[in-house]
Amino acid sequence: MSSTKIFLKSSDDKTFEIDETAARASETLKNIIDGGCLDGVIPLPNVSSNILPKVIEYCKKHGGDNGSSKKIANGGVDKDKEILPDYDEEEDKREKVRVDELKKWEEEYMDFDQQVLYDLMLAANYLHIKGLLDLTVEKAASMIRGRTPDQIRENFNINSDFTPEEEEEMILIEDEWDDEWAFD
Amino acid sequence: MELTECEKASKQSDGERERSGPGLAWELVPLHMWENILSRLTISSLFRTKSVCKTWRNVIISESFLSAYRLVNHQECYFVLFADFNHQKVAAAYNPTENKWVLISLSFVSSSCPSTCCRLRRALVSHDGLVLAEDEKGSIVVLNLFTQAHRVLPPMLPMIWTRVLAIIGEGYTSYKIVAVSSALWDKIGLQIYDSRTNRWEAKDEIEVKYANFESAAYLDGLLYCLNIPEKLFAFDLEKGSWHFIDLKMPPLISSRLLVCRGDLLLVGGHVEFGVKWGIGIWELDRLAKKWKKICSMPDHLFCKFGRGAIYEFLTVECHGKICFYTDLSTDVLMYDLLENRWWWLPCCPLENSQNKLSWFGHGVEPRIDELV
Repeated sequence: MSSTKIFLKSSDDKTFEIDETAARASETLKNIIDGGCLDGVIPLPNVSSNILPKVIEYCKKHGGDNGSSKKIANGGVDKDKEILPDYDEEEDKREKVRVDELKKWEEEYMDFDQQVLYDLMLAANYLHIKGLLDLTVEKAASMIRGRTPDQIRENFNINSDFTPEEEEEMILIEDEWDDEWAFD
Repeated sequence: MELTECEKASKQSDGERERSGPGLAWELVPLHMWENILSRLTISSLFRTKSVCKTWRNVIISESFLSAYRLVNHQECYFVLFADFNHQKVAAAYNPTENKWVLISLSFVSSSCPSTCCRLRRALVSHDGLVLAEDEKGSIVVLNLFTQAHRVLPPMLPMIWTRVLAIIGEGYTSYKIVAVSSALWDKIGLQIYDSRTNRWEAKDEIEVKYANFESAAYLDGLLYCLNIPEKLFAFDLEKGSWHFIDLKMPPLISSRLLVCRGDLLLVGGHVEFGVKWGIGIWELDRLAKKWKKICSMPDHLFCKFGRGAIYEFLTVECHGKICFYTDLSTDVLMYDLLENRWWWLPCCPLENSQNKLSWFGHGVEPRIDELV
């Protein structure tokens, strides 16, 4: 299936090329394409050239194969199930390999620093790429889990905006909570 | 952009904590995304998170976050098994997912409203995230152990030999409490507390021989009550009426009703063929109107648990897991109904302290949204 090329322009005026099938991983881009207002280049004023290639990399992995062909594969399984019981097993095996491979790819793909996470999460939100949003949000959540409020503030560069009195009260609550949950 | 970063940095250097690395504007992340991130946390992480900054705290206490959080099933449950009501004022809770004990403070009850409420004495009943406990003066308190929210209930209507049977949550915003009284030998009095009106209300009496309701479990609008010996009643909460359920009950010792995944279960000790002691779990087949035995405690575990015979033993159910405890030892045995797995709990850390531990005995699903 040869596909139409689409051009995306980053906030700093750099143009990137992407297959239409890959671009459809993004709800926002899909709507623009389907809306027929495609005028050569789609400007993305909220996504910089630093992060756009990373987004495109994700779309390439997920856009083409995940959407359309999976549905066909599933339909095939259902139809052949009754006639060829062995087919099911083969398909299962293939599916498992595919999932394992995807997991490994995601692991490598998600190996980046905070700056990238921040940009990528906002880009995924803006472009409505659900899978990517899930991955990035999950990574952000993992930076909170099992950490103290101080560590969390450091991780996210957040300043506590509580007044000194509130802060004191908060510290009391924190200490109490830490004590309560102290058994490891 | 760079200038503002410098300004920020210089402002922070006087007195405030220094920033490490480039200053990312995480504060600018839209609120709905914070909701998305925070809703993935378990309740214990979420509590620490509350004190990170005002924005986060406001997200966590907002109505939209709470409804989003409700949708994510965090599948957490805590078996709050032991408590030191007198000295440390803490309860020890076992988390089966992490195979770990944690301590939960109980001191907030008496410290926050000393005029109305004193030290807790015992836990009565529980449902989802709520526990109903009695303090030393006999007042009844509804607690959410995880948010520390609590409410001291108005006194019950004057009835003799009152026993609280159940607390029943209604959609995490309100709840009812059912209490029975068996002052007369052939009648049972009933009163129900409604959190929306904050009042106890008396209901019709029911005629029952040997009124001795031991255990109750709520399922599909009916509160099933076990009347010892060997009778099962159901109270229709909506209609306020009682039904006698005509089915043969297995003769059991220390029997208790439980609800697990939409099924009514009965746990108890029994004697097989007049000689062999054991502990079993039965499931109610509602169509066939029969109790069907679904499992037994394996002999080698029963030997250690009951020392070969059965005395009174206690059970607590939460999320398809049942724990067994006797006064004979400090060992607690857990059974996972879905995985068909038995295991002994690690030693409870409160055990080491000098004080005598009390049995708390409730399975609690931590909820931040459940109101008291």
